Amino acid sequence: MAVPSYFIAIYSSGLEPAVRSRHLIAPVSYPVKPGGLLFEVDARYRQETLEKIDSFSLPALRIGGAFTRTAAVFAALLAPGTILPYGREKGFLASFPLRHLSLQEALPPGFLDTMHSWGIRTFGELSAVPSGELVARLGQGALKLQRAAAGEDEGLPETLPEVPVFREKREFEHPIESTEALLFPLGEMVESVCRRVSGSGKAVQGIELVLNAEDGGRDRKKTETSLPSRNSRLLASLLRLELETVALSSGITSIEMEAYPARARHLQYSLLEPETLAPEEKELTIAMAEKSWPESRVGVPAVLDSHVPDPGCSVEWRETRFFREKKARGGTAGDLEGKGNRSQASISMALRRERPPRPVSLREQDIVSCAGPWKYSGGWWSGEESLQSWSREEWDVELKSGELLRIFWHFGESRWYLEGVYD
Amino acid sequence: MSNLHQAINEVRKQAVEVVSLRELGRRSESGRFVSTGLDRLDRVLDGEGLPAGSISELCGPSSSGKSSLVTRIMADITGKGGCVAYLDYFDVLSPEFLQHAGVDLENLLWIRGTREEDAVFCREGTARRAQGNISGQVAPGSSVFKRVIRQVEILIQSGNFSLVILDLAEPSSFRGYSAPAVPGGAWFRLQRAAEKSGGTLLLLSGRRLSSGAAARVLSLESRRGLWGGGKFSAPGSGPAGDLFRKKEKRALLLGMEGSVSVLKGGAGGGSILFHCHL
Repeated sequence: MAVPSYFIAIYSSGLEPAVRSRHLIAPVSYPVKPGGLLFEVDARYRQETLEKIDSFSLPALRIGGAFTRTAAVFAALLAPGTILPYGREKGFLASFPLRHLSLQEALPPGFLDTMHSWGIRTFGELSAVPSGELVARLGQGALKLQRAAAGEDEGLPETLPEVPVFREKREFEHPIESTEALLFPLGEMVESVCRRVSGSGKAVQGIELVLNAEDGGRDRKKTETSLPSRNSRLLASLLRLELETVALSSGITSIEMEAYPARARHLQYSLLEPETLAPEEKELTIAMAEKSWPESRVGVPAVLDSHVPDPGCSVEWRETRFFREKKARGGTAGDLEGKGNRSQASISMALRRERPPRPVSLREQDIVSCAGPWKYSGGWWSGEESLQSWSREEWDVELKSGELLRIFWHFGESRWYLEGVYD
Repeated sequence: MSNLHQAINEVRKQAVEVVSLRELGRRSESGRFVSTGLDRLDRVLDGEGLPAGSISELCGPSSSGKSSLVTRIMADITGKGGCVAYLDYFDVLSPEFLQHAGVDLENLLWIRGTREEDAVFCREGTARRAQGNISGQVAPGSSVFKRVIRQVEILIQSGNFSLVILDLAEPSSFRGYSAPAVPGGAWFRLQRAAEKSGGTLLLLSGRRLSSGAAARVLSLESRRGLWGGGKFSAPGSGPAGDLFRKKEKRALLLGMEGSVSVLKGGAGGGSILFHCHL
């Protein structure tokens, strides 16, 4: 005997976890207007399904269930928390005002006015009208609306494109004590997951790794690529760099891995450009540089649009053109020969900054020349005690030793500071 | 033939190759060059610039113009679309000056050292000098030393950068200490990495550091600052006035004049004058 399907509609402001894990809730699901999700489950297991949905603790959840899709959606939207038994759809919907029909169906212009003029104001009244008479006056479209008002389904549901989940898990017979030994299963897992992602026509944007320790501890590591990639070697190398920072307190009993897919990028290189380096190469280089000197700041210099002293800073390299393009020119010296203007160029003077400015004591006899002062203040509007305020008098001085300095007199502290050396 | 000679001959047969440092230097020149962007300097440097696949060193005291010259080289490379990695050990780089000089900042990877690293590095060197180690060399086992070398090695080996710059020059003489010398073996290790990958390493230093590993060594000297406007007495105000009271003040610092000489490599040890402007 065939068991009928039961439909559960949910609406929530935080539907994303349910969307991502809907295969865990129920094997079949559909999107429904407006922005909801409809699960089709075996009627015998509706209780379990409701419990699973409950486990997601979705905010502002509106839920409804019925033996038809239409009734389930109306139940969730019009009377959240309603779980209808078999055959009660029509009776449940009968009292709702007819304007709510627009929640699921597009109403033809003037439909509600016509219904009002006929004295039809509720779902129940519409469903009681003889179908033949309704079609004769308003056409086939009205029949669809009448069925919806009675809680009956029309046609097949719209299918939701599958969001694949790429997970891998390995459990070990004996706990693994060193991160080096983890690299072998890890490499194989990355390769496997890349193959699956690649098979779905996508590329990997990031990988999350969970290390389950013998003592019950869980260590999460996540690595992301600037551009989606299918290069398993690159991803394995990035994960290896992440693992280098892990201090294992006890043996690892299992590894879980989830890859986040993204649209693969399509690059069309010019045939006339020199052979280029893959962006992945640069990604790996910079990741290695960052890991080998973790306290340092690796980035692309930027000049902030500000009048504060020393407005330069370094910014995240992933966000810049440095990474996104220019691979064509990223090669070594020979690639650049013959390009650019080789005319007699001028040299701009550079300042080597002291960060932070260094207090100095200068003697008059050491100074050969000077220029200044340039009075310079700002940030006073933030309050007298604010660290953001400054008031100074800048001078350029040349010392007998030949050093050219930029110094300033700090009015707040009444002392000289070295801002930098022209070099 | 004695047993010793026999053994030596045997070793010679088995040895893959024994090369002198000079030979090693010659071999490192792969025939490609990184232009300095200055025709006159390129002419002095064999006509084409800094040889790729090798180390070049630019050394000079504070205000000798080495940073300005490097900025010019960076502007030339990044302007042509090349990428430059700058390992800024003492965190001295000024992005606004680079931008003014025409460096395309988005083609520059800036690796900034931290004050803590700087302090440890320099303390080690200073302590060694105090102990009688004149050069103040850092022990090869030093973690900071290893990191610097490892970092540079990664950048060179990647082949992603037209030029890798390692800036170990002290920001100013006011610090009272200088960066300790890195053991010579490390430079040869980097030289081999550069040779293998075809990358170019430019070392910026206050005094000569790279021992024999650099294919080109340029030494810079400051001549004078270039000042503009008339001379006038500086009235100054407050404490600033005290410092400059007896000085003739100038209207503006326009730039500086320096000289660069080729100490090693190039077309016969030439020297040129150059001007930098603000």
